[in-house]
Amino acid sequence: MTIAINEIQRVFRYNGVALPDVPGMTPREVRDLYSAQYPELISAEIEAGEVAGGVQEYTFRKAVGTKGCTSGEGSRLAALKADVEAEAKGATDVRGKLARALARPGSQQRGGAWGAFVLQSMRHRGERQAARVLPDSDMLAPLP
Amino acid sequence: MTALALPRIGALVPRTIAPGPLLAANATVSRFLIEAEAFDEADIPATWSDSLSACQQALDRWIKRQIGPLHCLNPRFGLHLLSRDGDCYSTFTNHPKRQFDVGAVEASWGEYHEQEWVVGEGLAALSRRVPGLGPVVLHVLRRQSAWVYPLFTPDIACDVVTYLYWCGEDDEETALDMNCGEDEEARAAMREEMVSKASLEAAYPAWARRWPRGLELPLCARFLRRAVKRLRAPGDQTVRAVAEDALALASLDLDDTFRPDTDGEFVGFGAVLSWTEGDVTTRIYDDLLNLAHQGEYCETMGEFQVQLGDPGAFAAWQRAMAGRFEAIRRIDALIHRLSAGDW
Repeated sequence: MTIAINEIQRVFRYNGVALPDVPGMTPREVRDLYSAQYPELISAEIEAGEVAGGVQEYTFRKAVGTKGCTSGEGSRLAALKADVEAEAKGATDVRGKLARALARPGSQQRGGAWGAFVLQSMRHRGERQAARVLPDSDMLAPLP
Repeated sequence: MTALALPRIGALVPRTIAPGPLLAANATVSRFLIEAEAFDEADIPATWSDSLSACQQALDRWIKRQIGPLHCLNPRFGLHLLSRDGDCYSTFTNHPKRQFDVGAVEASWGEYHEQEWVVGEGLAALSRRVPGLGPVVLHVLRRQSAWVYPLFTPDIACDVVTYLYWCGEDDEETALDMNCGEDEEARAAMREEMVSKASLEAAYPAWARRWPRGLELPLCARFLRRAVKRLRAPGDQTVRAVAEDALALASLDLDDTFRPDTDGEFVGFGAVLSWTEGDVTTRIYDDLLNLAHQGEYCETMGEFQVQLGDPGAFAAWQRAMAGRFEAIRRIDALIHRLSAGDW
């Protein structure tokens, strides 16, 4: 009988998203690597699942509910320091991605065009200063 | 018929984001504040959107905790980023350069929304109970607030009137000469309209109109200490509380270390102290503001710059502010008691 040696495939999941495995790294090292992209992972717990079908799933669970949300005494300062270090590297979750996207020349050109369009569309110069109440989309009746 | 749902911005989409060049700068400032131990762990909020916002909230809580609850004053503290080239970045005034090399921060403070408080009746009542107590309390209030939280008091109103309406003279006659000449009818009409010497004398008692010479703080403190000892009757509770607040304020060692280095007319007053409801004080104050806004003016009470490489200097500033925070609390208590007391 021949015994086939199959390497267990690792799958990392965070917040429902599958993160590619990084061969040669321990799960903890993988978590630390991805914390550059998701700063809240710095203090995340690692849950190792059962091996099923040659696949072992690791789930990163945030130690806190949302980014910057802390639970126990003494943890707030640590979490804040962790956020500062993550921001210093320029790696901030959604905000960082959005800021980088908005800084692209193409985004800025399109933003400038929209701004110019809005200015041109004003009926008179004073309209820019006029106080306007814009209804929230929740307040608008659905279209028939 | 199908109803079309209007698009909505998802809950995960941030409403605000830091401009790209500022992301790292914000982190630098946050790290600086943490290293300076600018706030306690308990001041850090439970949740935050970014580290600078967390530090801002924590610092705000720390300041509020230091000053305590206030009735009349509404001080606001701001922290601005300064680049190594000397450029200032403020969220409300300008946008940062693409490469904003933050090198220092500047703390500045002032009153957010100054209001008029009527104190004449209260001060007069103090003197009815203890002769001389009203002038002493008013002097302590204006002398100590001048270094910490300047108040627009009757003596300042009288000073402002001389250059605002009277061409720098002691009364309105020169201004009338210049505008009306010998025309008695026109002079009478203008005198009726303007703030005249007679209207000032009618508005404030003589002791409130000028800064008393020779009345130094140690003398005031001695007087107030004696007054506090004397005020033992059950009905003296309010007067005694005022004397105690004034005594505590007079005992604080305050100076003008953090005076703003800004040119132009100073209009950073924390409150307007009028004598009676609707007297000339607010009119003079409003005219002063109008004049100031035509040129350069200063509306901050204090400012302090510190290099990001020196977090210890920020901690030293916080320690130096302790006496000022107490002064703000005492000034607020005095204004509140004088204006709201049942005299």
